[in-house]
Amino acid sequence: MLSVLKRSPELTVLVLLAVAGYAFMGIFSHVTGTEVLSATSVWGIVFGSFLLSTAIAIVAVIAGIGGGVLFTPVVMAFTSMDTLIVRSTGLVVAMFSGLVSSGPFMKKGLADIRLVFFASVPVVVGAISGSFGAIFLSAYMGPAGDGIVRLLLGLILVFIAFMFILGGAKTEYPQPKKIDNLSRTLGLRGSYFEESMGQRIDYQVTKALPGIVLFFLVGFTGGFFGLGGGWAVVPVLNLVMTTPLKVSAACSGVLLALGNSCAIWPYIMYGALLPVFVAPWMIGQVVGGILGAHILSKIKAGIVRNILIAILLLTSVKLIARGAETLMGVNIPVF
Amino acid sequence: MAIVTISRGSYTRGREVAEKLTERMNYELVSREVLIEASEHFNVSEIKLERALHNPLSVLDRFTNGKRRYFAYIENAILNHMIKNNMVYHGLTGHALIPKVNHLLRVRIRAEMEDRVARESERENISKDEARYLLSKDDEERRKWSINVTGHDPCDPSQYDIIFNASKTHVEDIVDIIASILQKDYMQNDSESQKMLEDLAKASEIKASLINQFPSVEVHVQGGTAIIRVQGSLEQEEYLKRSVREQMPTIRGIQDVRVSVIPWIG
Repeated sequence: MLSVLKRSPELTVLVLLAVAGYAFMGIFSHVTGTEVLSATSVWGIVFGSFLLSTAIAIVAVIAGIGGGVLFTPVVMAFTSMDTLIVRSTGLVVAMFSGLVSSGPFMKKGLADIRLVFFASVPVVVGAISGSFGAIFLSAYMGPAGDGIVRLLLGLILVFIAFMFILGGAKTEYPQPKKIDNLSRTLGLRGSYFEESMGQRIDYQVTKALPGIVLFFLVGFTGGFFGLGGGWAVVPVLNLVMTTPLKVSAACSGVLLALGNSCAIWPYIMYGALLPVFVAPWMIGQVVGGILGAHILSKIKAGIVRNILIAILLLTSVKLIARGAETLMGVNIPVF
Repeated sequence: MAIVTISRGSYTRGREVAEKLTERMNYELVSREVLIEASEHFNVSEIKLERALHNPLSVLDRFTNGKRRYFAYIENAILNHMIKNNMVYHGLTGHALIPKVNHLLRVRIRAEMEDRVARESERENISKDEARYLLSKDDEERRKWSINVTGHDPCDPSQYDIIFNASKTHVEDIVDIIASILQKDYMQNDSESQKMLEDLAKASEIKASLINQFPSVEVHVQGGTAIIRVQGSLEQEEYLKRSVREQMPTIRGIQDVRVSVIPWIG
C-alpha cells in the first residue's frame, strides 16, 4: 500500500483531500434535505457511488477496459440520473483511468511525448466540441436529446463490444508503406526498448493528416458521450499511423487523461458536474485500481473481460430500447 | 530417423496407409494415444480432448478458449512423440505443428468422393445419399476446425510434401513410395532439425502449463531462451510478467525467460 502511495503522490494527496472534505462536511456542516432528496439519501448516494466506482475500477483494471466505457453506458442504461451529469462524471472516471497509468508509461519511455503532443491537439479540440455539442443537445432538445444520446451510445457500445471480441485486428510492429511529408516534418518517429526481444524498437509514424481527423472524431465521441477513448485511440495509432502496439496503448492512457480533463470544462461551466457526486467516483477509481491490481493474481483476467463484454452487449440492448422508447413514445419491455 | 504425418479425410484409406507404413519401417504408430497421454498428463477427460480434436469451434469456444486449451495439451503430447523420431502420426493437424524440419514428411491421402461414399455406405449400412451428406458435413467441419485452430486449410496442397489419391494408387504402392523416400539421405535427421523439434516441444510444454491462466499465451523457444507473449492490460505488465514466471514449469535447457505483454484494446 505504501509503495502505491509513493508511486502516485499527487493522486494520494487528491484522495486524502477529498476524504478530508467529506469528513469536514459530515462533522461541521449541517446537511439539509430538499423536496427530492433527504439528507440521509444524499449520504447514501455518496457512499453508494464510492462503492460502485470501486467495483467498476476493480473489474476495469482486471479486464483492461477503461472505466469510462463501463461507467457511462451502465449508469445511463439502468438509472434515471440526468444524462449530462452521468456523462460529466463518466469523463472524470475516464480521466482518472488515464491519469493513474500516465506516470508509469512516461517514466518507462513507452509513451511517446512528441506523438502525444501531436495527437492531443485534435483530441482536445474534439473533446471540447463534443462536450459543447452534448450541452447544446440537452438544452435545446430536452428528453428527445437524451433519447438520441442513449440510442447512439447503445449502437456505439455494440461496435465497441465487437471490437473487444475481435481484438481490433491489431499489429504489434506495423511497418509504414509510405511516410507522408507532414509526419516527416513533425519528426513523428521514436524508439523504445523491448525487454522480451532484448533490443531497441525503432518506429516511424505516418498518415498524420488522417490521424488528425480521426483523433478529432475520437475526442468528439469521448466528450459527447462521456466515454474514455482507449478503444478508439489505440486502433488509430496502431492501424492507421503504424505505431507499435505497446506505444499506442501507452500513448492512449496519456491522451485520455489530457482529452477528458479538457472535455470536463464545458460541463463544469454548464453546472453539469456536481463535485459532491464526482468526488466519491474519483476516490473509488483510485481505491478500486489498487484493489484490482491485487485481485488480478487470484482470478483469470480473460474470463472477467469476456463477462464484461457480455455486460456491455446487454447494456447496449437496454440503451437502444430506452432511446427508442423516448423517441417513439412506446414501451419496450427489456429486462 | 524420420517423422511422417499423414493427413486424411474419413474413408480415404489413410489409416491403412499409416498402419502398413509403420509395419514396413518398424516405426511407432501414433494417433489416439496422444489423447490418452494428454488426458493423463493434464487431468482432462479423454472425451473432451476427442471433441476438441474433431468438433468445430463454436461461438462459445471463442469466449471460453476451452478447445484451444485442449488442443495445446494434444499438441504437447504429439510433439513429445515426435522428438523421439521414427514415428508415423495420422490424424488432424500433425502436418501443421512443425513448419520447417528436414526429417519430416507431410503426406496427404485423399480419395474420390464416390469411393468414400461406397465405403462408408457399406461399412455403416446406410444409403449412399446419407453417406454423401455425412462425408460432406465431416469434411467441411474438419476444414473449418483446421482453419480456426492452425490457420491453414487442410485442402491446401502447399501444406504437404506429397499428396496421394488412394482411388487411383493402391495402398501398397503408396506405402512403397513413402518408404523409399524415407530412405533418402535428405530425409535423415540432423542435429539442427532435432534441435528445432526439441525447441518446439519445450515451447508446447510451457504453453500447455500456462494456457489455463493465460488463454492467449504464445511461446517461442530458441536455444536456451523462452519468449512468452501474453495478452493483458499494459498497466499490469509487471504483475503479469511476474505471474508468468512463477507459473512456468522448470524445463531443462531453458536459462532465460522473456515475457512480453501484448496490450488489450480498452
